[in-house]
Formats: sequence, structure tokens, C-alpha cells
Amino acid sequence: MTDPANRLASEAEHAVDARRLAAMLALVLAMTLGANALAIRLSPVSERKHDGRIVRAKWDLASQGVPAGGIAVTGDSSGNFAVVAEILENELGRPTRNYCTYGRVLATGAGWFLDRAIERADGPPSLALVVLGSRTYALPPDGFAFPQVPIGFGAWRTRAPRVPLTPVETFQFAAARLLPLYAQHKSFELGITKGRWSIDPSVLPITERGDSILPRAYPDGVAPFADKVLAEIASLEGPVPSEREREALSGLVRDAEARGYDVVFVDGPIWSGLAARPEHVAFLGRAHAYLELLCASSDRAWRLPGPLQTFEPAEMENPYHLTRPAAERFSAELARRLETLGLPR
Amino acid sequence: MQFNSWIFPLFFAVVYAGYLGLGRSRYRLQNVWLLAASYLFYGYWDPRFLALLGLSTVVDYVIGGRLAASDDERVRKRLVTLSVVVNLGILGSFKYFDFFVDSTAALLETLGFQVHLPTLRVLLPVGISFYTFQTLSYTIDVYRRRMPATKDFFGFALFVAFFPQLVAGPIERAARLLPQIERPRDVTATKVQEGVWLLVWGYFKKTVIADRAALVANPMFDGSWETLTGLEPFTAVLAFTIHIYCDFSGYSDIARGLAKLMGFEFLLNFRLPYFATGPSDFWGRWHVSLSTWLRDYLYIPLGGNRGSRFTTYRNMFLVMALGGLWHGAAWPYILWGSYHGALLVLERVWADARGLDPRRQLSLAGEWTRIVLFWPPMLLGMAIVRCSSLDQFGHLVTHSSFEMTARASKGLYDLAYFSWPLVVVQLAQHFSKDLLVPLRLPLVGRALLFAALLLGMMVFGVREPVEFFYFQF
Repeated sequence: MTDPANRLASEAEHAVDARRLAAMLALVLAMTLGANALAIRLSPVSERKHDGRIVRAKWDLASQGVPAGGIAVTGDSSGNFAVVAEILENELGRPTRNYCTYGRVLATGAGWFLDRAIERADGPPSLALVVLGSRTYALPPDGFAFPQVPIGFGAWRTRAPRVPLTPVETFQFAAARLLPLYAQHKSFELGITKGRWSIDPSVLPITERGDSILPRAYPDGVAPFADKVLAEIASLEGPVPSEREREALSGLVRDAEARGYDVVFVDGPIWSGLAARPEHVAFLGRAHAYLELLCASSDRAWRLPGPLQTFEPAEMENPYHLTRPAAERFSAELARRLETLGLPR
Repeated sequence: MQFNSWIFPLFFAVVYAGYLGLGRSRYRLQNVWLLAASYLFYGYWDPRFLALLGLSTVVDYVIGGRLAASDDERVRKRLVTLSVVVNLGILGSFKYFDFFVDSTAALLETLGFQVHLPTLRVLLPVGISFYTFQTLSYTIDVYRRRMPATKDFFGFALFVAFFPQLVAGPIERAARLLPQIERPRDVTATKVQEGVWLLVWGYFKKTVIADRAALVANPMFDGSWETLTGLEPFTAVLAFTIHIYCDFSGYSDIARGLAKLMGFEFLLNFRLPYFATGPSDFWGRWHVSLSTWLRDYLYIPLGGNRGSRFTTYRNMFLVMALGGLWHGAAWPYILWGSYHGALLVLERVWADARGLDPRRQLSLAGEWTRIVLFWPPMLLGMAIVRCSSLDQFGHLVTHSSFEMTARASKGLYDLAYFSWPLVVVQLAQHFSKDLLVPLRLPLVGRALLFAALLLGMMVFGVREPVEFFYFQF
């Protein structure tokens, strides 16, 4: 029989002393951190995610150092898929490496790849290209994305460009490093629920110069992705680029001056339909205005002249990602415009 | 600031360090520290909300003092009426004014009149229903001489604004929480362990179970619900039933866990409601701090069960309908409250007709039969509160069958995948009658359970902060 007076559950006291509580909490911490360490050891991000593999490959490439006097290309995924290093090399006669990764690490993370490539080189490059798609100017700083660049904890204070992380971002940076199960939860979830523990590297080849080649276009995905970008633009508050990105971009210019190379800010390729939208024109205009101002203050910095290089969905995977033939045209035009600037010197 | 935002752990770490640093003997300073933290916590949503919170605090503190100082019953009655009018006036203006105006206009238009009535269209301050009821309990209890008025203004302000339970309860009683505020608190290892368990379990329920269940329910209710068929309506309602419980009880657990870490005890708000054997049992288990508030400050003053049977039935129905309205200024909430009122009345009529004592003993088989039998009407109530229109509700009811469609199968699989820890823990809680039963495990077992829940949250927790469902109330 269940007595109505006792039918309801309540909270019984389970006495514990401070020593045993501390032991239990220490055990919880050890198990949690241990499981995370084991998970990342058994399943590194570079084997689980294309993003992770690109970052790993580009960091390894940067660690070999940029050829002295050569061209270093850094930036987001628009540059990763659009800049064909071989074409720049042929057109401009300088060895070229592509260190572009993806947008979530922002210009800040892109700068760290460049810094790595220069610190490991015999001498500075002659020219650095910073290729950013317009969406990157709309992305907020992400404390979980920065730690995907393999810099040490606190290195954001010493590496170029130096940027101050907020307390929340610092906390997120530490959490991402100590708790990869949290920071990379989506791919771990896919592993656990669907058994997808590894990617096929042949799907997205990366050349020895760092170019990534998209296997095919995905025209149907272009317009929906553009809508997402427009929504992000509409919800933006504050200056464009953000204060944080301004620090990173100006840090890149200061670094170029200090180390003695030229830096050019390049707009990544874009779908013509997105480029023509008035709200996008206004948004990118704000980013350009800042870059013009920044470059005017230095004889080492330029914004690449000329209109946006636009493309059609048949050659794109999203509004910023090009397939190979389009990437070759983009790169050839990029080389031509650089020559009009008299670069590389 | 939401409990499931990134800023909150940092906020609480600073607040907790300061709280412990001040020490037990300086509990009044601790109160001021917690008050400042609570205002920061609340103002993080919108600093303008603080004005209402401050107004409510000052009005009820002053009225409480005057009530204690006066022996003139007419004066005391006027004072308590003033408190009720001010508090319900604020609540009514911000939460209900537009609803009643819009409903009146809709009614008049149905009758053929074209009207343009003025509305306020103001932002609804987060948690206003919770703190309004909480502060009202103080003046009413002082009026009833059930507790003395406090002379500690900061302590009273903390009672109204204490951040763990400010925006979604539990709705604390002044007679229970104020004495805790007005004396030193003991932060013991036992309380800390209970607090940590409640935090871990509460966050797990919210981020893994509730938010995942919402991913099943929301597209079905908010998307193309006209296409739902077979077992899909059942899946949608079941998902919402899991979502709302884990969301709200998860919040309560986190609130109570935070309180325990600081040496406070909050009211139990949920006592395994999905093990209820009937409507009255359900309301003794679901949002207990509200149902007991309604009982003490509405049902009993209306006469409770002291009058005729009809008066008792009327009071039960009225209180539940108003309880529905408390949840939200919309007809689904009123219908939901009325529906539960009707269920309570039916249960009482049945018991009265058969001369049964609702609190009689039940055999184990009888108890489980009742638990199972109460699920369909309980689910129907959940459908009422979640549906945004009568058309939608009608569609769900009329298009249900036992056909297992692909969508229903996927939804039920997802619910089972993420909800099984809830079933396991709650069965253990139910059979042991101990909500803290996991703490009976040996040290290593406890550590394993805590770590497993933390790891589960890391991998499966929904990341984008999803606002707690009850914030809208």
C-alpha cells in the first residue's frame, strides 16, 4: 500500500563531510578532464572535421615558413577556395603560399597564421594578401573559434596581431582547450550517434602550396546562405568592422611596417546576387571605408582597387566559395590588379 | 542574464567568491552584496525593469511597517488593499491590460461594432508575475499577523529580488525566506553537495532533455501543423510535455542549487508531477510554490471548502482559471487553467458521490493504474496550453491515430534517446521517495554519475541559449 502522506517524494539529508565532498568533486573533475583528453587523443579534430583538417594543414604549412620574398595569402574560406597560389606564382613570379582557413577565426586568426609563417621564415615575404569575404566582417568574435588556431594559451597577447580577449572569451578559450567535447560537440555527437568518426580527405584536396579545391558546385545552397548572411548583417550593431577586428586589421598593418613587407586587403569572391543587394552594398561600404582610412595611414598597406569579383551559382558552393575554374579566373584577375599597384615590389 | 548563458557562470563565480569572502558573521553585508548582484542580474535584461522592482520593494516595505504599527483594522485593511492594488496594478498594466482591451475589441467587432481602443504595447518585464506574488505574500501575511514586519530594508529588498529565483521562482513566502535572510547562513558540505547535484541535474534537464525535446515539438507546433497525422500529434504533445517539465523543473533545480550553495533553502517546486495519480495530486506536485500560493491567498479567502459543495467546486474552478491567467495573458492559458479546474471539480464530484477520501491509501497496482490513467487527460491539458489556436488543437485531436509515420518515429526516437536518464532518475526518486536519491550512491558512483551528466551536457546539450519557457510568465 502507498500511504498518501508518504506518496510525495521529498529531499532526504545525505550527510557528507568536507573531505569526502572535496574528494568527490576532485574525482568528477579528473574524470571529466580525463574523458576529454582521451576523446581528443583518440579522435583528433583534423581527422573528424574538414575545418579541423584545413586548419591543421595550413598551420603545418605556415610552420615551414613563407619563402623569403614570396607572397603569403591569409584570410577566410573565400580566400581558401579562390586563391590559386600557383597562378599568382606564375603571374607575379614569386613563390606563393595560401594560409587561408575559415571565417570564424576572423582577421585575428588569419593574422596568427601569417605571423607563424613569417616567424618560421628566413626573411619576411615581399607581400601579404589578406582575403576576406564580406560575411567575415559581420561575424562576432567567438571564444570557441580562436583556440582552433593552434596557438598557446595567452599567445593572443604576444602574437601579431595582438588582440585583447574579453574575460568571457578567455574563459571560452580555456574551456575549448580543456573541454574539446564541449567545443567540438557537433562532430563528437555525429560520431556517437551516427558513427561518423572520420572524414574522407580526398573529398577536399589541399595542394602543397595550400590551395583547397572544391570538388563541385552547389548552386541550390547559394541563395539560402545569402539570406542567412543578410540576416546577420541586419542584426549587426556597432561599427563595421567591429572594434575587435579593427584592432586586428590595424595590427596587421603595424606588423607589415615593423617587419618590412607590403599588405593588401582583398575582397573575397562573392555571388553577384548578394553583392547587388542594397543592404549588402551599404554594409560592405562601411568596411571598405574603414580599410581605406587604415591604408591611407601607411605606405605599406593597400585595399585592392577595382570592383568586387562576382560569380554565378553554377560555379559556387555558397555565396563565397568557388569551384576551381572560377578560382583560376579570380586569381588571374587578382594578379593583374596587384600588378597595377606595382606589387609585389 | 540567463542561467544557461556564458556570462552567468562568471557572474556567479564572482558573486559566490565575494559572498564566502565576507563570511558568515557579516551576513548583513552578504545581503547587501547579494542585493547588488541581484539588481545587476535583473538589470542585465533591461535596466528599466529595475524601476518596477524597486517600486514594488519600497511600497511593500513601507506598507509592511505601517501594518505592523497600526492596530486599527480599518487602516490595516486599507493598507493591505493598497499593496494589492499597487502590485496587481503593475502586473495588470504590464501583463494584462492589452489582452483585455484586445479581447474586448474582438468581442465588440464580433457583435458588429467597429472600435479602436487604446493599448499600451509595453515590454513585459521578465519574471514580473513571480516577484509580484512573492512580495504580496509579505504584506498579506503581515496583515494576517502571521509574521512580523521586517525592519531590515536591504534584507527585504533581497527577499524581493534574490537572483536565483527572481525571474522564474520558486515563489518564496516571506515567512520562509525572510528569516533565512535575517540570520547567518551555514554553508555546509552537505548543502554544497546537494547544491552541486541540483545544479548538474537542473542544467542537464534544461540543456539536454528540454531543449532537445523542444527541437522535436517546436517545428511540429510552429511549422506546418496542418500536415500532422497518425502518431505525430501525440509525438508533438509528448515532446512538449517533456520540454516544459524539464525546462521549468530544471530552472527550479538550478535556482534551488544556487541557493543551497549559499546556505539558503528554497521551496520544493516539483515533486515528480508525471507520477501524479489524479488532478489534485498533480497540483500537489507541479509548480508547488504557485499552487500553494493560490491555495493560501486565493482559494482559502474565497471560502475554500468551508461552504457548500457547489461553493467548493466553484472556488476550485475559479482558482485554477485564474492560475491559468497568471501564466499568460492569452486565451490558451485561461482555457488550460479552466480545463484543470474542471478536472479537479470532476475528481471531487466523483469522490463526493462515492464517499471516497481523496487521500486514502492505494495499493501499488492501484497507484500505477491511476498514474497511467491520468496521463491522457494530462497530455490533453498540455496540448491546450501549447496550441496557438482552436483550429490547431482541433486538428491535433481529430488527426491522431496509431499510424507510425516516419516523422513520428524520428521524433519518438529522439525523445527516447535523450530522455531515458530522466526516466531512470525519476523512477529511482519515486520508489525511494527521495528526490536526492543519487546522493545515496557511494563516492565513486556519485562522481561517475556527476561526470557522466557533465559529459552528456558537453556533447548533447543544445548550445544556443534557449530562453526558459516560464520566463514569459
